[in-house]
Amino acid sequence: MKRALIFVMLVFSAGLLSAQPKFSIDPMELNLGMLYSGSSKTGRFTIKNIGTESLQIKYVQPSCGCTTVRKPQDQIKPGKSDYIDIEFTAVAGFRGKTEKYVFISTNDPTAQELSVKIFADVREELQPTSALSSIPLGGVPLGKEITQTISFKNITQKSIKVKDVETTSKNIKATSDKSAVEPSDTLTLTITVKPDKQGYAFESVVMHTDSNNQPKIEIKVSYIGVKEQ
Amino acid sequence: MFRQAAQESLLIILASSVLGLSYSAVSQKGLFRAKDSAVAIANTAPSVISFEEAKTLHDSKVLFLDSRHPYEFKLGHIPGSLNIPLNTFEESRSILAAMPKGKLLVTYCDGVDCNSSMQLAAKLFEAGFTNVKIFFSGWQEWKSHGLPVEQSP
Repeated sequence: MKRALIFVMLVFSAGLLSAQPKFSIDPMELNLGMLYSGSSKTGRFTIKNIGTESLQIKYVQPSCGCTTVRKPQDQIKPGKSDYIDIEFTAVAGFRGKTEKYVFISTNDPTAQELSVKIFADVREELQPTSALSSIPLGGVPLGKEITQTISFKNITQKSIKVKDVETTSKNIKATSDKSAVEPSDTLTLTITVKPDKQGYAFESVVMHTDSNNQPKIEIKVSYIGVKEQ
Repeated sequence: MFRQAAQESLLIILASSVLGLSYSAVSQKGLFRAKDSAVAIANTAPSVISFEEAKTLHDSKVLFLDSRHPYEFKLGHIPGSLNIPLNTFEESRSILAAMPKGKLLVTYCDGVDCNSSMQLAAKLFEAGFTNVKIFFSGWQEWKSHGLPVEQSP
């Protein structure tokens, strides 16, 4: 009787131990191929619970602001699948082979934290002449104007027209020194920032062009409005 | 007798002056206090630094704060840096509370497409830190120079 009880307990324990969620994802690396700076591409990862218990997706987080994700449902039943849909935007500053991650955390003991990769090959027609293609200003006193310039070189064999330059905030003004930029020539945007509130701010300057491949170029402007007494 | 007393008095006055001026300079109070408070505030606001400046500060053992996701930090980070993810800033307040508000801190994140280094600097400034630098080109530029990196277990 005692032996039978021990046997039952062992079988029960083994069953408990083997009853686990098991995370599977395909692909582990997603190659989006070539895209032009400023444009976006979408992709999909398929996740599946190949275990015997419900799989909990604790978080799905991209490694950068350049990637947005559509998260799967929080719980995936055994044998069921769901998707992580991503949209990658080649923001100004990405050049050539670019590698980003999506971090995933689950309740699978063997996949509590893991990452999948996104690859892209980013091309440009108007290439920033400086290493930084965004404008990080740090602290700027409220009401004070700060002016910065950023230049782009036309690396194509054709002339590119600037249709319009717009900003996402009334606190930022931007002008281009040229309405068209010839091959190998450079145009310069002059960007003026005048904060009117304290704290972190993140805005954009968008230059629209007649290029089919790069119809818009977004320059991100970030700063911290600082109180002036 | 009188001459000796005068010499000693002069020495004491000299020593006191040196001490007083040194304290003023270090504490930025008294004689060396900024006359224009706006300038003082602007001067203490976070500023963006280049790779070269970041490297110099790192060589000088300045504390770097990494605002990326903990898993990203675990995969690799600038040696000696501390992970203060932006979305868990509130949980890091106790760590930051132990630091002097004038301590020189350098924030960084992934690189050009990442703004959390600036956001973290803004939060630190709001919390009273007056000597924060932003290494904006961050982790990607650090790696591109082939500098040592550190991984967490």
